[in-house]
Amino acid sequence: MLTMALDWLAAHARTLINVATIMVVGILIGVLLQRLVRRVMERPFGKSTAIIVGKTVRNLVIVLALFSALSAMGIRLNSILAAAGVAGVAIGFAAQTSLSNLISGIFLIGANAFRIGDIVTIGDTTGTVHNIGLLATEVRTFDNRLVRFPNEMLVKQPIINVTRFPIRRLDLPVRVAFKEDPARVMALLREIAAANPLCLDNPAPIVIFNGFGDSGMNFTLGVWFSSPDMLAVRASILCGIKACLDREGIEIPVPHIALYAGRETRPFPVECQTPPATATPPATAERPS
Amino acid sequence: MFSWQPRELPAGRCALLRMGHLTLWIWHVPGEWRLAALQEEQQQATEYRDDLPVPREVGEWIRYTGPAANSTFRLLPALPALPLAISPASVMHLLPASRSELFVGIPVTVRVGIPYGGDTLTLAEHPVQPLAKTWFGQPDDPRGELCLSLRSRARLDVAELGPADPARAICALRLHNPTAAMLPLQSLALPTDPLGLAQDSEGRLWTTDVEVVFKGGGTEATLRYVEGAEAGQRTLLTPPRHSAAAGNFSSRLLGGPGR
Repeated sequence: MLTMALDWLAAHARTLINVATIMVVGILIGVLLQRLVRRVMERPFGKSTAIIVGKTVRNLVIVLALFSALSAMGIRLNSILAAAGVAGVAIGFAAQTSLSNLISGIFLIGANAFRIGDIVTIGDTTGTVHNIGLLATEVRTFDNRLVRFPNEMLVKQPIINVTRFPIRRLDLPVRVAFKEDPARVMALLREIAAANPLCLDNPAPIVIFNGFGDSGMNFTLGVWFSSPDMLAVRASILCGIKACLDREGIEIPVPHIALYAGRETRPFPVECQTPPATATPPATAERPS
Repeated sequence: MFSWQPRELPAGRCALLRMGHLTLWIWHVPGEWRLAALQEEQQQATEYRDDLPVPREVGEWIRYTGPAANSTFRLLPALPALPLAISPASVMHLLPASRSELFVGIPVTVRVGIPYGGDTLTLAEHPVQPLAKTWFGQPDDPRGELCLSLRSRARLDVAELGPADPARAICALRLHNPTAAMLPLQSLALPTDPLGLAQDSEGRLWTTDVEVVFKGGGTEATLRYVEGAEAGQRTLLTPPRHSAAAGNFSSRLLGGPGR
Protein backbone atom coordinates (compact mmCIF):
# COMPACT_ATOMS: atom_id res chain seq x y z
CA MET A 1 0.00 0.00 0.00
CA LEU A 2 2.72 2.42 1.05
CA THR A 3 4.73 1.46 -2.00
CA MET A 4 1.78 2.19 -4.23
CA ALA A 5 1.30 5.57 -2.65
CA LEU A 6 4.95 6.42 -3.01
CA ASP A 7 4.89 5.30 -6.65
CA TRP A 8 1.84 7.50 -7.28
CA LEU A 9 3.53 10.47 -5.62
CA ALA A 10 6.68 9.93 -7.65
CA ALA A 11 4.66 9.74 -10.86
CA HIS A 12 2.63 12.88 -10.10
CA ALA A 13 5.21 14.91 -8.16
CA ARG A 14 5.60 17.49 -10.88
CA THR A 15 1.84 17.96 -11.21
CA LEU A 16 1.40 18.29 -7.45
CA ILE A 17 4.17 20.88 -7.26
CA ASN A 18 2.57 22.82 -10.10
CA VAL A 19 -0.83 22.74 -8.42
CA ALA A 20 0.59 23.83 -5.08
CA THR A 21 2.57 26.62 -6.74
CA ILE A 22 -0.49 27.86 -8.64
CA MET A 23 -2.60 27.92 -5.48
CA VAL A 24 0.04 29.60 -3.29
CA VAL A 25 0.81 32.22 -5.93
CA GLY A 26 -2.91 32.71 -6.61
CA ILE A 27 -3.68 33.25 -2.92
CA LEU A 28 -0.73 35.62 -2.54
CA ILE A 29 -1.78 37.67 -5.56
CA GLY A 30 -5.37 37.70 -4.27
CA VAL A 31 -4.33 38.98 -0.85
CA LEU A 32 -2.00 41.58 -2.36
CA LEU A 33 -4.69 42.77 -4.75
CA GLN A 34 -7.15 42.93 -1.86
CA ARG A 35 -4.79 45.20 0.08
CA LEU A 36 -4.10 47.33 -2.97
CA VAL A 37 -7.81 47.75 -3.71
CA ARG A 38 -8.48 48.70 -0.09
CA ARG A 39 -5.69 51.25 -0.08
CA VAL A 40 -6.74 52.81 -3.37
CA MET A 41 -10.48 52.80 -2.74
CA GLU A 42 -10.65 53.69 0.95
CA ARG A 43 -10.24 57.42 0.54
CA PRO A 44 -12.62 58.06 -2.38
CA PHE A 45 -15.24 55.39 -1.68
CA GLY A 46 -15.08 54.78 2.05
CA LYS A 47 -13.83 51.95 4.21
CA SER A 48 -16.88 49.70 3.86
CA THR A 49 -16.89 49.70 0.06
CA ALA A 50 -13.14 49.23 -0.04
CA ILE A 51 -13.34 46.20 2.26
CA ILE A 52 -16.08 44.50 0.27
CA VAL A 53 -14.59 45.18 -3.15
CA GLY A 54 -11.22 44.02 -1.82
CA LYS A 55 -12.72 40.75 -0.58
CA THR A 56 -14.53 40.22 -3.88
CA VAL A 57 -11.34 40.74 -5.88
CA ARG A 58 -9.40 38.36 -3.63
CA ASN A 59 -12.04 35.64 -3.91
CA LEU A 60 -12.21 36.00 -7.70
CA VAL A 61 -8.45 35.61 -8.00
CA ILE A 62 -8.49 32.56 -5.73
CA VAL A 63 -11.30 30.98 -7.79
CA LEU A 64 -9.31 31.61 -10.96
CA ALA A 65 -6.25 30.05 -9.33
CA LEU A 66 -8.37 27.06 -8.34
CA PHE A 67 -9.59 26.60 -11.93
CA SER A 68 -6.01 26.85 -13.15
CA ALA A 69 -4.92 24.26 -10.61
CA LEU A 70 -7.70 21.90 -11.67
CA SER A 71 -6.68 22.40 -15.28
CA ALA A 72 -3.07 21.61 -14.37
CA MET A 73 -4.27 18.39 -12.78
CA GLY A 74 -5.82 17.43 -16.11
CA ILE A 75 -9.40 17.84 -15.00
CA ARG A 76 -11.65 19.18 -17.74
CA LEU A 77 -13.22 22.46 -16.76
CA ASN A 78 -16.04 22.14 -19.29
CA SER A 79 -17.65 19.30 -17.44
CA ILE A 80 -17.17 21.02 -14.07
CA LEU A 81 -18.71 24.23 -15.34
CA ALA A 82 -21.63 22.34 -16.85
CA ALA A 83 -22.21 20.55 -13.57
CA ALA A 84 -21.82 23.83 -11.74
CA GLY A 85 -24.49 25.37 -13.98
CA VAL A 86 -26.99 22.66 -13.10
CA ALA A 87 -26.01 22.82 -9.44
CA GLY A 88 -26.25 26.61 -9.55
CA VAL A 89 -29.92 26.45 -10.49
CA ALA A 90 -30.62 24.08 -7.62
CA ILE A 91 -28.54 26.10 -5.18
CA GLY A 92 -30.21 29.28 -6.40
CA PHE A 93 -33.63 27.94 -5.45
CA ALA A 94 -32.36 26.75 -2.10
CA ALA A 95 -30.49 29.93 -1.31
CA GLN A 96 -32.99 32.58 -2.28
CA THR A 97 -32.66 34.37 1.05
CA SER A 98 -28.89 34.44 0.85
CA LEU A 99 -29.01 35.78 -2.69
CA SER A 100 -31.52 38.41 -1.62
CA ASN A 101 -29.17 39.42 1.19
CA LEU A 102 -26.27 39.53 -1.22
CA ILE A 103 -28.07 41.79 -3.69
CA SER A 104 -29.37 43.94 -0.83
CA GLY A 105 -25.82 44.23 0.46
CA ILE A 106 -24.65 45.54 -2.91
CA PHE A 107 -27.51 48.06 -2.92
CA LEU A 108 -26.66 49.13 0.63
CA ILE A 109 -23.04 49.71 -0.23
CA GLY A 110 -24.03 51.61 -3.35
CA ALA A 111 -26.49 53.77 -1.43
CA ASN A 112 -23.78 54.61 1.11
CA ALA A 113 -26.42 54.89 3.83
CA PHE A 114 -23.86 54.31 6.54
CA ARG A 115 -20.23 53.46 7.02
CA ILE A 116 -18.22 51.43 9.49
CA GLY A 117 -18.02 53.46 12.70
CA ASP A 118 -21.29 55.35 12.16
CA ILE A 119 -23.87 55.27 14.92
CA VAL A 120 -27.19 54.03 13.56
CA THR A 121 -30.64 53.26 14.86
CA ILE A 122 -32.34 50.29 13.21
CA GLY A 123 -35.70 49.45 14.73
CA ASP A 124 -35.16 49.30 18.47
CA THR A 125 -31.40 48.86 18.17
CA THR A 126 -28.92 51.70 18.38
CA GLY A 127 -25.20 51.13 18.09
CA THR A 128 -22.03 51.51 16.09
CA VAL A 129 -21.72 49.85 12.69
CA HIS A 130 -19.11 47.17 13.33
CA ASN A 131 -18.95 45.46 9.96
CA ILE A 132 -20.74 45.63 6.63
CA GLY A 133 -20.74 42.29 4.89
CA LEU A 134 -22.26 41.14 1.63
CA LEU A 135 -24.87 39.10 3.49
CA ALA A 136 -25.31 40.89 6.79
CA THR A 137 -24.39 44.02 8.68
CA GLU A 138 -23.19 43.91 12.27
CA VAL A 139 -24.00 46.61 14.79
CA ARG A 140 -22.32 46.80 18.19
CA THR A 141 -24.73 48.17 20.76
CA PHE A 142 -23.61 50.50 23.53
CA ASP A 143 -23.96 47.71 26.08
CA ASN A 144 -21.47 45.73 23.98
CA ARG A 145 -23.70 43.26 22.21
CA LEU A 146 -23.29 42.40 18.57
CA VAL A 147 -26.52 42.47 16.56
CA ARG A 148 -26.43 40.97 13.08
CA PHE A 149 -28.94 42.34 10.60
CA PRO A 150 -29.49 40.51 7.31
CA ASN A 151 -28.98 43.05 4.54
CA GLU A 152 -32.38 42.25 3.05
CA MET A 153 -33.96 43.49 6.28
CA LEU A 154 -31.98 46.75 6.18
CA VAL A 155 -33.18 47.53 2.67
CA LYS A 156 -36.80 47.17 3.77
CA GLN A 157 -36.84 49.39 6.84
CA PRO A 158 -35.80 52.91 7.81
CA ILE A 159 -32.27 53.37 9.12
CA ILE A 160 -31.42 56.45 11.15
CA ASN A 161 -27.79 57.46 10.73
CA VAL A 162 -27.12 59.41 13.89
CA THR A 163 -23.62 60.57 13.02
CA ARG A 164 -23.91 61.36 9.31
CA PHE A 165 -23.65 65.08 9.96
CA PRO A 166 -20.94 66.41 12.29
CA ILE A 167 -23.41 68.42 14.34
CA ARG A 168 -26.83 67.61 15.75
CA ARG A 169 -29.59 69.27 17.70
CA LEU A 170 -30.91 68.01 21.00
CA ASP A 171 -34.46 69.08 21.84
CA LEU A 172 -35.33 68.97 25.51
CA PRO A 173 -38.85 69.56 26.83
CA VAL A 174 -39.06 71.85 29.86
CA ARG A 175 -42.21 72.40 31.92
CA VAL A 176 -42.71 75.16 34.50
CA ALA A 177 -45.64 76.14 36.67
CA PHE A 178 -48.39 78.42 35.36
CA LYS A 179 -47.49 81.16 37.83
CA GLU A 180 -44.07 81.77 36.23
CA ASP A 181 -43.26 84.47 33.69
CA PRO A 182 -42.75 82.73 30.32
CA ALA A 183 -40.50 85.48 28.96
CA ARG A 184 -38.18 85.11 31.97
CA VAL A 185 -38.13 81.34 31.59
CA MET A 186 -37.18 81.64 27.92
CA ALA A 187 -34.39 84.08 28.74
CA LEU A 188 -33.04 81.72 31.40
CA LEU A 189 -33.08 78.77 29.01
CA ARG A 190 -31.07 80.79 26.49
CA GLU A 191 -28.57 81.66 29.22
CA ILE A 192 -28.22 77.99 30.17
CA ALA A 193 -27.37 77.09 26.57
CA ALA A 194 -24.98 80.00 26.20
CA ALA A 195 -23.12 79.07 29.39
CA ASN A 196 -22.62 75.44 28.36
CA PRO A 197 -19.28 75.05 26.54
CA LEU A 198 -20.50 71.94 24.73
CA CYS A 199 -23.36 73.81 23.05
CA LEU A 200 -22.54 75.45 19.74
CA ASP A 201 -23.27 79.14 19.48
CA ASN A 202 -23.84 78.71 15.76
CA PRO A 203 -26.41 77.44 14.84
CA ALA A 204 -27.94 79.35 17.73
CA PRO A 205 -29.92 77.51 20.40
CA ILE A 206 -33.68 77.71 20.02
CA VAL A 207 -36.24 78.22 22.77
CA ILE A 208 -39.89 77.60 21.91
CA PHE A 209 -42.92 78.25 24.08
CA ASN A 210 -45.10 75.31 23.07
CA GLY A 211 -48.21 76.30 25.02
CA PHE A 212 -50.19 75.44 28.10
CA GLY A 213 -50.24 71.84 29.20
CA ASP A 214 -52.26 70.02 31.84
CA SER A 215 -49.80 70.72 34.63
CA GLY A 216 -47.80 73.72 33.46
CA MET A 217 -46.39 75.71 30.57
CA ASN A 218 -44.39 73.68 28.07
CA PHE A 219 -41.14 74.89 26.49
CA THR A 220 -38.56 73.27 24.23
CA LEU A 221 -34.87 74.05 24.49
CA GLY A 222 -33.00 72.98 21.35
CA VAL A 223 -29.21 73.09 21.44
CA TRP A 224 -26.76 72.22 18.68
CA PHE A 225 -23.67 70.22 19.52
CA SER A 226 -20.85 68.25 17.98
CA SER A 227 -22.22 64.73 17.40
CA PRO A 228 -19.70 62.88 19.60
CA ASP A 229 -20.70 65.06 22.59
CA MET A 230 -24.27 63.71 22.71
CA LEU A 231 -24.27 62.13 26.15
CA ALA A 232 -22.21 64.87 27.78
CA VAL A 233 -24.48 67.58 26.35
CA ARG A 234 -27.66 65.87 27.50
CA ALA A 235 -26.37 65.39 31.04
CA SER A 236 -24.88 68.87 31.40
CA ILE A 237 -27.89 70.69 29.95
CA LEU A 238 -30.36 68.79 32.13
CA CYS A 239 -28.24 69.51 35.21
CA GLY A 240 -27.98 73.15 34.14
CA ILE A 241 -31.75 73.49 33.73
CA LYS A 242 -32.45 72.00 37.15
CA ALA A 243 -29.80 74.09 38.89
CA CYS A 244 -30.87 77.32 37.17
CA LEU A 245 -34.59 76.90 37.78
CA ASP A 246 -33.98 75.99 41.43
CA ARG A 247 -31.69 78.99 41.86
CA GLU A 248 -34.24 81.34 40.33
CA GLY A 249 -37.09 79.89 42.36
CA ILE A 250 -38.99 78.68 39.32
CA GLU A 251 -41.23 75.72 40.00
CA ILE A 252 -40.99 72.56 37.94
CA PRO A 253 -44.48 71.14 38.43
CA VAL A 254 -45.33 67.51 38.88
CA PRO A 255 -48.34 66.28 36.90
CA HIS A 256 -51.48 67.14 38.89
CA ILE A 257 -55.22 67.75 38.43
CA ALA A 258 -57.00 70.75 39.95
CA LEU A 259 -60.61 70.18 41.05
CA TYR A 260 -63.18 72.96 40.90
CA ALA A 261 -66.61 73.06 42.48
CA GLY A 262 -68.29 74.32 39.36
CA ARG A 263 -67.59 78.02 39.96
CA GLU A 264 -64.70 79.88 38.48
CA THR A 265 -63.24 81.75 41.40
CA ARG A 266 -64.77 80.60 44.64
CA PRO A 267 -62.79 78.04 46.61
CA PHE A 268 -63.94 74.51 47.07
CA PRO A 269 -65.92 74.51 50.37
CA VAL A 270 -64.41 72.42 53.08
CA GLU A 271 -66.30 71.80 56.33
CA CYS A 272 -64.67 70.39 59.46
CA GLN A 273 -66.76 68.08 61.57
CA THR A 274 -65.82 66.84 65.01
CA PRO A 275 -65.53 63.08 64.92
CA PRO A 276 -67.97 61.34 67.36
CA ALA A 277 -65.24 59.43 69.17
CA THR A 278 -63.53 62.57 70.50
CA ALA A 279 -66.73 64.52 71.22
CA THR A 280 -67.27 65.82 74.76
CA PRO A 281 -69.39 63.33 76.67
CA PRO A 282 -72.92 64.59 77.30
CA ALA A 283 -73.69 65.75 80.83
CA THR A 284 -76.39 63.17 81.20
CA ALA A 285 -74.17 60.27 80.33
CA GLU A 286 -74.00 57.53 82.88
CA ARG A 287 -70.75 57.02 84.64
CA PRO A 288 -69.58 53.46 85.03
CA SER A 289 -70.19 52.05 88.41
CA MET B 1 7.93 89.59 30.93
CA PHE B 2 6.84 85.98 31.11
CA SER B 3 9.56 83.57 30.10
CA TRP B 4 8.76 80.66 27.81
CA GLN B 5 12.30 79.29 28.14
CA PRO B 6 13.15 75.88 29.68
CA ARG B 7 12.86 75.75 33.45
CA GLU B 8 14.51 73.63 36.11
CA LEU B 9 12.40 71.82 38.66
CA PRO B 10 14.39 69.52 40.95
CA ALA B 11 12.84 66.22 41.93
CA GLY B 12 10.43 66.59 44.80
CA ARG B 13 9.46 70.17 43.90
CA CYS B 14 6.16 71.39 42.58
CA ALA B 15 5.51 74.33 40.27
CA LEU B 16 2.34 76.31 39.74
CA LEU B 17 1.27 78.28 36.69
CA ARG B 18 -1.73 80.57 36.77
CA MET B 19 -2.65 82.03 33.41
CA GLY B 20 -6.08 83.17 32.27
CA HIS B 21 -8.58 80.63 33.57
CA LEU B 22 -5.95 77.91 33.79
CA THR B 23 -4.31 76.70 36.97
CA LEU B 24 -1.61 74.17 36.17
CA TRP B 25 0.39 72.16 38.70
CA ILE B 26 3.63 70.48 37.64
CA TRP B 27 5.12 68.07 40.15
CA HIS B 28 8.50 66.48 39.56
CA VAL B 29 8.63 63.18 41.40
CA PRO B 30 11.87 61.17 41.00
CA GLY B 31 11.51 59.29 37.72
CA GLU B 32 8.28 60.91 36.66
CA TRP B 33 6.34 64.10 35.99
CA ARG B 34 2.85 64.69 37.30
CA LEU B 35 0.48 67.29 35.91
CA ALA B 36 -2.85 68.54 37.17
CA ALA B 37 -4.92 71.23 35.47
CA LEU B 38 -7.96 73.15 36.62
CA GLN B 39 -10.14 75.61 34.76
CA GLU B 40 -11.10 78.43 37.12
CA GLU B 41 -14.28 80.43 36.74
CA GLN B 42 -12.51 83.74 37.15
CA GLN B 43 -9.65 85.01 35.04
CA GLN B 44 -6.35 85.20 36.94
CA ALA B 45 -3.22 87.26 36.65
CA THR B 46 -0.31 85.36 35.15
CA GLU B 47 1.92 83.87 37.83
CA TYR B 48 4.60 81.18 37.95
CA ARG B 49 5.93 79.80 41.25
CA ASP B 50 8.05 76.81 42.12
CA ASP B 51 8.34 77.26 45.86
CA LEU B 52 5.00 75.85 46.87
CA PRO B 53 4.24 72.60 48.70
CA VAL B 54 2.46 69.86 46.81
CA PRO B 55 -1.25 70.64 46.92
CA ARG B 56 -3.51 68.06 48.46
CA GLU B 57 -6.60 68.58 46.35
CA VAL B 58 -6.10 69.46 42.73
CA GLY B 59 -8.34 66.94 41.07
CA GLU B 60 -6.58 64.25 39.11
CA TRP B 61 -2.82 63.98 38.64
CA ILE B 62 -1.76 62.67 35.25
CA ARG B 63 1.59 60.82 35.47
CA TYR B 64 4.35 60.60 32.85
CA THR B 65 7.25 58.29 33.43
CA GLY B 66 10.17 57.11 31.35
CA PRO B 67 13.84 56.32 31.44
CA ALA B 68 15.05 59.86 30.84
CA ALA B 69 13.30 61.97 33.43
CA ASN B 70 15.64 64.87 34.10
CA SER B 71 14.72 68.04 35.92
CA THR B 72 14.11 70.30 32.91
CA PHE B 73 10.73 71.08 31.46
CA ARG B 74 9.37 73.81 29.25
CA LEU B 75 6.13 75.73 28.99
CA LEU B 76 5.28 76.77 25.46
CA PRO B 77 2.37 78.72 24.03
CA ALA B 78 0.38 77.25 21.17
CA LEU B 79 -2.76 78.01 19.26
CA PRO B 80 -5.94 75.94 19.64
CA ALA B 81 -5.99 72.87 17.45
CA LEU B 82 -9.44 73.60 16.01
CA PRO B 83 -9.95 76.44 13.51
CA LEU B 84 -11.22 79.70 14.94
CA ALA B 85 -14.48 81.31 13.87
CA ILE B 86 -13.57 84.94 14.49
CA SER B 87 -16.48 87.34 14.77
CA PRO B 88 -16.02 91.07 15.35
CA ALA B 89 -17.90 92.28 18.41
CA SER B 90 -19.63 94.74 16.11
CA VAL B 91 -20.41 93.98 12.48
CA MET B 92 -17.70 95.45 10.29
CA HIS B 93 -17.88 96.46 6.66
CA LEU B 94 -14.92 96.60 4.37
CA LEU B 95 -15.34 99.24 1.72
CA PRO B 96 -15.08 98.33 -1.97
CA ALA B 97 -11.59 98.12 -3.39
CA SER B 98 -9.93 98.69 -0.07
CA ARG B 99 -7.56 97.10 2.39
CA SER B 100 -7.57 97.01 6.17
CA GLU B 101 -5.48 95.42 8.89
CA LEU B 102 -7.13 94.03 12.01
CA PHE B 103 -5.41 92.79 15.16
CA VAL B 104 -7.16 89.87 16.82
CA GLY B 105 -6.24 88.50 20.26
CA ILE B 106 -6.34 84.71 20.44
CA PRO B 107 -6.27 82.89 23.81
CA VAL B 108 -3.36 80.47 23.69
CA THR B 109 -3.02 76.96 24.97
CA VAL B 110 -0.10 76.05 27.24
CA ARG B 111 2.01 73.06 26.32
CA VAL B 112 4.10 71.28 28.91
CA GLY B 113 7.10 69.64 27.31
CA ILE B 114 10.24 67.82 28.39
CA PRO B 115 13.52 67.25 26.52
CA TYR B 116 13.31 64.02 24.61
CA GLY B 117 15.80 62.80 22.06
CA GLY B 118 17.11 66.26 21.20
CA ASP B 119 13.61 67.63 20.80
CA THR B 120 10.79 68.68 23.10
CA LEU B 121 8.13 66.09 23.80
CA THR B 122 4.73 67.59 24.61
CA LEU B 123 3.17 65.93 27.63
CA ALA B 124 -0.06 67.89 27.73
CA GLU B 125 -1.72 70.99 26.34
CA HIS B 126 -4.31 73.07 28.18
CA PRO B 127 -6.26 76.16 27.04
CA VAL B 128 -5.94 79.28 29.16
CA GLN B 129 -9.50 80.13 28.23
CA PRO B 130 -11.99 77.48 27.14
CA LEU B 131 -13.69 78.63 23.95
CA ALA B 132 -17.15 77.46 22.96
CA LYS B 133 -17.44 75.33 19.87
CA THR B 134 -19.33 76.62 16.88
CA TRP B 135 -20.26 75.40 13.42
CA PHE B 136 -19.09 77.46 10.49
CA GLY B 137 -21.61 76.97 7.70
CA GLN B 138 -25.09 75.56 7.44
CA PRO B 139 -25.89 72.46 9.54
CA ASP B 140 -25.99 70.20 6.47
CA ASP B 141 -23.15 71.95 4.66
CA PRO B 142 -20.52 69.37 3.71
CA ARG B 143 -17.95 72.19 3.61
CA GLY B 144 -18.96 73.34 7.09
CA GLU B 145 -16.40 73.13 9.81
CA LEU B 146 -16.38 72.69 13.55
CA CYS B 147 -14.55 75.69 14.99
CA LEU B 148 -13.94 77.46 18.26
CA SER B 149 -15.92 80.64 18.63
CA LEU B 150 -13.91 83.79 19.21
CA ARG B 151 -15.45 87.23 19.59
CA SER B 152 -12.92 89.94 18.94
CA ARG B 153 -12.78 93.68 19.19
CA ALA B 154 -10.71 93.50 16.00
CA ARG B 155 -8.64 96.58 16.70
CA LEU B 156 -7.18 98.56 13.85
CA ASP B 157 -4.23 99.93 15.79
CA VAL B 158 -1.70 97.69 17.48
CA ALA B 159 -1.15 100.37 20.14
CA GLU B 160 -4.72 99.78 21.39
CA LEU B 161 -3.85 96.24 22.39
CA GLY B 162 -2.43 97.31 25.73
CA PRO B 163 0.46 95.72 27.59
CA ALA B 164 1.85 92.34 26.65
CA ASP B 165 -0.28 89.43 27.83
CA PRO B 166 1.29 85.96 27.70
CA ALA B 167 -2.17 84.41 27.65
CA ARG B 168 -3.06 85.95 24.27
CA ALA B 169 -1.42 85.81 20.89
CA ILE B 170 -2.01 88.57 18.41
CA CYS B 171 -2.91 87.75 14.85
CA ALA B 172 -2.60 90.45 12.22
CA LEU B 173 -5.34 89.94 9.63
CA ARG B 174 -4.78 91.88 6.44
CA LEU B 175 -8.13 92.10 4.70
CA HIS B 176 -8.38 92.92 1.04
CA ASN B 177 -11.64 93.54 -0.75
CA PRO B 178 -10.74 93.97 -4.41
CA THR B 179 -14.38 93.87 -5.54
CA ALA B 180 -16.71 96.78 -6.19
CA ALA B 181 -19.11 95.61 -3.46
CA MET B 182 -19.14 96.41 0.24
CA LEU B 183 -18.05 93.42 2.29
CA PRO B 184 -19.93 92.89 5.57
CA LEU B 185 -17.55 90.86 7.70
CA GLN B 186 -19.55 88.78 10.15
CA SER B 187 -17.31 85.85 10.76
CA LEU B 188 -14.10 84.39 9.43
CA ALA B 189 -12.97 80.78 9.74
CA LEU B 190 -9.26 80.84 10.40
CA PRO B 191 -7.35 77.54 10.37
CA THR B 192 -4.71 77.66 13.08
CA ASP B 193 -2.61 74.72 11.95
CA PRO B 194 -0.39 76.78 9.61
CA LEU B 195 0.19 79.51 12.20
CA GLY B 196 3.38 79.65 14.21
CA LEU B 197 3.89 81.67 17.39
CA ALA B 198 6.73 84.11 18.00
CA GLN B 199 7.58 86.47 20.87
CA ASP B 200 8.72 90.06 20.45
CA SER B 201 11.09 91.98 22.71
CA GLU B 202 8.21 93.20 24.89
CA GLY B 203 6.94 89.69 25.50
CA ARG B 204 3.97 89.88 23.14
CA LEU B 205 3.05 86.74 21.27
CA TRP B 206 2.47 87.06 17.55
CA THR B 207 1.09 84.55 15.11
CA THR B 208 2.09 84.34 11.48
CA ASP B 209 0.35 87.16 9.61
CA VAL B 210 -2.69 86.24 7.52
CA GLU B 211 -3.75 87.86 4.29
CA VAL B 212 -7.44 87.47 3.50
CA VAL B 213 -8.52 88.28 0.00
CA PHE B 214 -12.25 88.34 -0.63
CA LYS B 215 -13.10 86.86 -4.00
CA GLY B 216 -16.54 88.37 -4.36
CA GLY B 217 -19.73 86.85 -5.67
CA GLY B 218 -20.02 84.47 -2.77
CA THR B 219 -18.52 83.81 0.60
CA GLU B 220 -15.17 82.52 -0.50
CA ALA B 221 -11.87 84.04 0.50
CA THR B 222 -8.29 83.16 -0.08
CA LEU B 223 -6.04 82.96 2.95
CA ARG B 224 -2.33 83.37 2.73
CA TYR B 225 0.04 82.88 5.62
CA VAL B 226 2.96 85.25 5.48
CA GLU B 227 5.78 86.39 7.69
CA GLY B 228 5.40 90.07 8.49
CA ALA B 229 8.13 92.68 8.22
CA GLU B 230 8.82 92.43 11.97
CA ALA B 231 9.19 88.68 11.89
CA GLY B 232 12.97 88.96 11.98
CA GLN B 233 12.85 90.81 15.28
CA ARG B 234 10.75 88.12 16.94
CA THR B 235 11.81 84.79 18.41
CA LEU B 236 9.94 81.80 17.09
CA LEU B 237 8.61 79.81 20.04
CA THR B 238 6.18 77.36 18.49
CA PRO B 239 6.29 76.30 14.86
CA PRO B 240 3.05 75.63 12.98
CA ARG B 241 1.37 72.33 13.75
CA HIS B 242 1.56 71.51 10.04
CA SER B 243 4.49 73.43 8.72
CA ALA B 244 3.98 72.17 5.16
CA ALA B 245 0.86 74.31 4.85
CA ALA B 246 2.53 77.49 6.01
CA GLY B 247 2.83 80.06 3.25
CA ASN B 248 0.48 78.19 0.96
CA PHE B 249 -2.78 79.52 -0.36
CA SER B 250 -5.89 78.12 1.15
CA SER B 251 -9.54 78.75 0.45
CA ARG B 252 -11.93 79.24 3.33
CA LEU B 253 -15.41 80.54 3.93
CA LEU B 254 -15.81 84.14 4.76
CA GLY B 255 -18.93 85.38 6.51
CA GLY B 256 -20.12 87.69 3.82
CA PRO B 257 -23.56 88.50 2.58
CA GLY B 258 -24.26 84.88 1.71
CA ARG B 259 -24.09 83.71 5.30
